[in-house]
Amino acid sequence: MKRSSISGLLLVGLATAVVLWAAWRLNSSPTGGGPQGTRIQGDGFPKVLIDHSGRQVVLPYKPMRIASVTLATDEILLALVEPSRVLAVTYLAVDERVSNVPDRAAAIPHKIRADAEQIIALQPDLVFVASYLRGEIVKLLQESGLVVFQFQEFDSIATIQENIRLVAQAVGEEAKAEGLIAEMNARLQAVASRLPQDAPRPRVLYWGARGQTAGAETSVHDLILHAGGENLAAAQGLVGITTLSAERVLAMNPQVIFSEGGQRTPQPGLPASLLHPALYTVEAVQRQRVFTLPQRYMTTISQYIVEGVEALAHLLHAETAGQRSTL
Amino acid sequence: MTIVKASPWLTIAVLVALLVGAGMMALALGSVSVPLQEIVTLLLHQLHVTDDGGWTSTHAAVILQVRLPRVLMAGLVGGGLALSGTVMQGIFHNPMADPGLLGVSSGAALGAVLTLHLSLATQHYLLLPALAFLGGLMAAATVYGMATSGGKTPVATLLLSGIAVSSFNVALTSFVLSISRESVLREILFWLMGGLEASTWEHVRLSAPIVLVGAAVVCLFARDLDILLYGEQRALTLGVDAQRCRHLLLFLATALTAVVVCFSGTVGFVGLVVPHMLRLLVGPGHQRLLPASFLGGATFLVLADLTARVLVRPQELRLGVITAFVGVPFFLYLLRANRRILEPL
Amino acid sequence: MSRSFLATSSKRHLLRLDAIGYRADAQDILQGISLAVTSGELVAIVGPNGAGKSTLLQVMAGVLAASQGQVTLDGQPLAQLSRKAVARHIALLPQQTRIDFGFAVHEVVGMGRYPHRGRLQLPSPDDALAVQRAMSATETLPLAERLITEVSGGERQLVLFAQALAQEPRFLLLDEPTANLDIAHQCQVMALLQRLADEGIGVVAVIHDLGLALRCFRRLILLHQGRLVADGPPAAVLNGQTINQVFRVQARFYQDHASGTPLLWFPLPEKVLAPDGSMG
Repeated sequence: MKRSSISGLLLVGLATAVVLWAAWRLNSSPTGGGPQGTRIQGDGFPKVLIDHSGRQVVLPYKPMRIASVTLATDEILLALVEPSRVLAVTYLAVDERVSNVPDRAAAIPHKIRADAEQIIALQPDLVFVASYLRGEIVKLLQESGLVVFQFQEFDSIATIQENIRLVAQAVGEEAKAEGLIAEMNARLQAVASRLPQDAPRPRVLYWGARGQTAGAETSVHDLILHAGGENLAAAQGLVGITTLSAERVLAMNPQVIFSEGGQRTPQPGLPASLLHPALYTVEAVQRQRVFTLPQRYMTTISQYIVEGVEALAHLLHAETAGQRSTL
Repeated sequence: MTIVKASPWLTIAVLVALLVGAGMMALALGSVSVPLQEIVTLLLHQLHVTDDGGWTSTHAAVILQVRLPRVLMAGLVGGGLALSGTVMQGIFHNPMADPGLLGVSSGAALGAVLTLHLSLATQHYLLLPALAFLGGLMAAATVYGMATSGGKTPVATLLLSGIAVSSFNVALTSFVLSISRESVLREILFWLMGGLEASTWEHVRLSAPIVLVGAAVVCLFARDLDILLYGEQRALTLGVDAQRCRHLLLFLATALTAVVVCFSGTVGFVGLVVPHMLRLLVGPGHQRLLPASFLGGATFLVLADLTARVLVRPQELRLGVITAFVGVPFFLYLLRANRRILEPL
Repeated sequence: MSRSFLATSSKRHLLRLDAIGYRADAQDILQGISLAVTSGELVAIVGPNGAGKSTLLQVMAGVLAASQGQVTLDGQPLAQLSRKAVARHIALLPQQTRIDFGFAVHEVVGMGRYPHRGRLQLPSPDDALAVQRAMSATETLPLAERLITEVSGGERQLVLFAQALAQEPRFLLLDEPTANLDIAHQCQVMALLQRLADEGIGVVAVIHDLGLALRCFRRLILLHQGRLVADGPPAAVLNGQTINQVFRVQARFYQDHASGTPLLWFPLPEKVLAPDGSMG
């Protein structure tokens, strides 16, 4: 082979290696360094919305025709505003497996997805979209004269509460938001107070149906923490969502394993796809401390995460309270 | 098997009419049905021909901001891919050749996947098509570089080189997919399956000049392509500079493919099946086949995009899925009905 | 029959090779070849396999660039002419031509007009006339609307001839024009070549069939291992001695009583190969 071909191939190989390394490293952050969500200024209407590129849009009055295109904002909105003000929610909102508000969502007149045509045709006066929605579609909506709020997903309870405040600001229900947040904190406090004081935190592992686990900087991590457990994945140094093989689970030896499923209430046992025969040596399996929680607790980044905390806490500590969890 | 004996102009006129008809249908149908009259008056108003009202502002927004650029992109993408496929089939003497042969599609896919994975697209949304375009061109350049030695680029080596580079790109893409997190994964898969839901006027402005000018230049080389089919030696003695011709045509086909795939994602079967369909209708002469392929491909994709939007309302199917569902059975039919075309190969 | 193919052409053209050498893959395929062909000649290039006959033809047509020496057409070096200009004067029909797609016969012949048209030029009446003449000379007019993939092998060859003739060349170079043709078509082709030569086209063909070369051509060029061994009238070039030395077979000469044309016969070797590989 000629020298130029060899050096050309080496260059390509080097470039590939650099690119892959960059891809690997930059994957660690769950929010992925995406743009900031929309910020909002002003106490009473009109308010100014500022998106991540600095573009400013005026929200002239309290929005009465609100369209929500993310499940998180579906859940938050339905708790903050009267249903008559909500024009549209996502299709997922009526899906019992993933939504925490299926009944209330069923009453909303329109179910939509992130489709420019559908949204424009509804002519809402405020649209909540995900911050990672394709930039072209956001542009299309903005250029059609709609006011777009880009909702950034956050993965800790504290930042979820910040988000609730942001949404409330946009729809003019700041007082209700504070009430909601206060209720959240009260319930979390109640859970914390019932935790056994001197016992060590149980080593808990979340293991999703496709083998994924949640390390630090995830909502599930916060879930486990507030439920009085120790997130084994985070303790091992994992950040974000990663996949675990049965081998690693064996090595970690958790005391409790919980997974997610489509039913509405927590169940004992794990999904069949995870039941590796070798796992019988794991402490959690031996003590039968394996559960399946409803999927909607795992994916939610709204106030309903508190329900998940309560459910998990109940499962983790019912034994120490003397009762077997009646599931 | 019929070959339309009509004059070339008549065939082109018919195809243009079909394209316009498909376009109007695509503008009228969707999650919101807009009556045809409104569309016509709206368009005429845009072209400053009439001043009438007669449409709602919602409909105006939907048609002018969302559907019209989308339909235009569908036409450009379909035309570009079909034309590129025709050129590939002619140069490689291979009825199974398609636009992605020189690694353009796989390179663009890799560029797009990396951009989405690294969330670069959220910095500026034009980064996604830009890096996909770059990826496509780089892949094609690599393929060409690997296959060229001593100033000559033999066709067989080019084919093999394209397969090698494409496989490599696919491997890298799979790797990135395997380490991506869930939200990005979905976006990546949707891009890989092709879709025009994010089409804007900016896309049209960026791609239309390249596609239309590139297509026009390719059509100028119709006779050369005809002659190239007769083998390199005969082409040379007929006065065709075979090497240069091939270089130019492959460059144009590559550029055409890259510029449309970077906006639409990977859409298969258009570049493979449409040239065959049109060859059945207008014959293998490239003077008719090239413009016919472009128009036929444009119509095909406009209709495919329409189907993607309305078939399973209110969901939206991916474009690549529709083209595959239509393309595969048709291709099988082609194979059976026209064995003779493929016999010499 | 057909009228004269070339309208009027009394001008004589000269295609000349001066000390041509061609080298590829570190091998000398042609060495020191000098010859000249004028309009109206009917030349056959003969030689064993690997002698470089096809290569010589391609160098003569300007398809391959000679490594040494130069090819001139009426004094002008071929290398200085554009491909199209060369194609207007010299047509080369290779041994194999791919016919994959179903073009109509008249379209195929029409491609021969490429060297005469600018890129943006529309077909002119001259083009139609040239195509007409080419097809009538090759007797392929009845096939005009048929698909090239649907005609027989012999007819296909004639169509390709017509394509070459549509170039209105001064010199027609052919690489084994009669290979894979049945007898009727072989005769038809040879008659056509003779007629073309009579009308002023310089015809040079690579011929494998020595008997055919001897019978039908007016001048023979014998190539052996890339060198020009003999150049002249057929009887002088192909005699028992040259055939034995170059082709390594025995030959017997006969004469047809009626026409006086020479005929060749090659008896099969009587002994099988000796153990050391030598012929008996």
